[in-house]
Amino acid sequence: MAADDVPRWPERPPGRLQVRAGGRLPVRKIAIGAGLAAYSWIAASTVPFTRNALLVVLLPGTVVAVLAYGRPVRRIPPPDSIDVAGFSYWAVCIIALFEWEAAAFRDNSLWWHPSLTALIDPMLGARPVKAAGILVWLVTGWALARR
Amino acid sequence: MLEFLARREGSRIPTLGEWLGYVMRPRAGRLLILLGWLWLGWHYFSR
Repeated sequence: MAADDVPRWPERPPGRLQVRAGGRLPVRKIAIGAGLAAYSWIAASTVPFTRNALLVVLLPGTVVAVLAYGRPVRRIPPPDSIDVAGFSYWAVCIIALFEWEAAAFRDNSLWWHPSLTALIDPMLGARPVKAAGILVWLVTGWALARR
Repeated sequence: MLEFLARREGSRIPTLGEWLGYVMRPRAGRLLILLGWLWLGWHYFSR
């Protein structure tokens, strides 16, 4: 890969994945996962455009901000450089996405050129789907705080 | 799809995590990406 020369965890020796001694369950991780799932389920019950709906987004945002800046977690070492030509593939996709959204927004999301929001909002009407989306969003925030 | 192509042996395409990590090296990039993440949550789950 483009950043193969950068070890993911410098303090660990390369080679086989180290198995936790004793085969104990990762209780802490299970508890955190359950907590996140419960939070996502509760957050999915909030009504849009209300104070509670705003708070369920701001609270994790605050936690991630504290983790990212106030109490940094062990970060994954970033690569010193990336291949510009390789990154251009991502840049083209991102620019195309932004252009699609902007054009759809300008044209009020026509049926043949819907915005992402117009496509996703009906799916988020179902509570389990919204809860899953919130859980993915929370995990993404944690992953970004580690980068 | 790009992520799959990036994970091939000898690929020049960086993975999503690699280029995000690179962009987030400076404080401004880190702030920008985290604000973007927060905005996504607000846009889809709060509105």
